[in-house]
Amino acid sequence: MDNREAKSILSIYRPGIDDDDPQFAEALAEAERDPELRAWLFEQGKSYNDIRQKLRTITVPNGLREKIVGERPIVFPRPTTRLRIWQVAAAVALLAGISGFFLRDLVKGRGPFSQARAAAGAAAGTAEGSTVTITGEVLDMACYIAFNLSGPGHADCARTCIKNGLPVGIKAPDGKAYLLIGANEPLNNQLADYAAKTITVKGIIRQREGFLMLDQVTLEKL
Amino acid sequence: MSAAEPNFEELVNRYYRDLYQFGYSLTRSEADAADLTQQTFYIWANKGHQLREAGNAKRWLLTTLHREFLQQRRRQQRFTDEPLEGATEQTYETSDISRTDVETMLDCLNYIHENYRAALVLYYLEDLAYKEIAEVLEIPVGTVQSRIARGKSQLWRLLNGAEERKERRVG
Repeated sequence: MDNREAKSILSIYRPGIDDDDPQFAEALAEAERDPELRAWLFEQGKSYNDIRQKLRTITVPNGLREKIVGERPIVFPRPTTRLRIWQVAAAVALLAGISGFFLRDLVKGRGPFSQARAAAGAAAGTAEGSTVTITGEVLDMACYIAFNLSGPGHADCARTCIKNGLPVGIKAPDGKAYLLIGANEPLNNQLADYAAKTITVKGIIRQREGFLMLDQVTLEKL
Repeated sequence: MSAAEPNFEELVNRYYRDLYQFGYSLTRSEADAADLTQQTFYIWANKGHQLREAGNAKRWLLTTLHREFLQQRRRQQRFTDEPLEGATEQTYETSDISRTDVETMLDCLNYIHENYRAALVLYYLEDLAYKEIAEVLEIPVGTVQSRIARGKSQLWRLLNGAEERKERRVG
């Protein structure tokens, strides 16, 4: 390998980055033997580092990081399981069969469905308007209702969603999820950093058509 | 969100500076570089979950920024495939660029055809192997190396010319 050929190869060599790249091995060995080539290579490395250092001084505008994070789009994860058409059809048929069975009993005023309805009504009667204290997990209601997402694995997404104004809730130990509303104000700012964590809140139970809410919430234990 | 997927804020903290510097070196415009950086992370937020290997996140982001840059250029209809005169000629001289300020350097970079410029900026700014630069730019390794060699040769000539002009003005 002559001097010119070695320079051609080494013209793109970066000290410290390309040391293990075999394409430079022979030319580097030649530079070890040839003092003129070695001096040239040293200057090359110096120029490389000068340009690199200068480019690295490009300053980033103030607030860019915050803008990127703050304007992050909220993306709801898509369910990974793709249902086939026949699975959907089977589920619909099964649901129709079960509904028919219970509706028959309902019309006659007997059976497990009507008993359950009576029990629920009784429970609702005692719960509605009463003040309760609930200890449970802080939920991002959008992801929870749409995709059943909760827990530590979803904490980051939940925090972002709550911070961006999506409804915040709490999941009680009995599995019921309540929308949380403060005293005529949202609680998102106070609760965003507690996403997926366990807290205790106190509020008045409101419910409508199966939807549960804790109103006038005060944060008891964070 | 799966446990393997990098945290968005953490990803922004780690790479926004690198992406901005890459974008600014390509566009020479603060606003365009900021837009490209934000747009890249926006795309990540929407599509990043498709990336299986979290370790490749930086390369994915650089590739995306470069694609967005090319699209932006096409939209502006300023895209040209004409390389600079003398692009095929390689020289191996060294250049004393220690006195050159970063603005002069970026001005000179801006004169270099964008195909060469992108390879050159990645060569200088990022600790990426040639194979990785090739993946970012979506071109063969051999093309990357020849673009870097030619781009570097052009840059040095431009820098020397800029220094000479500056000295003449001072004198």
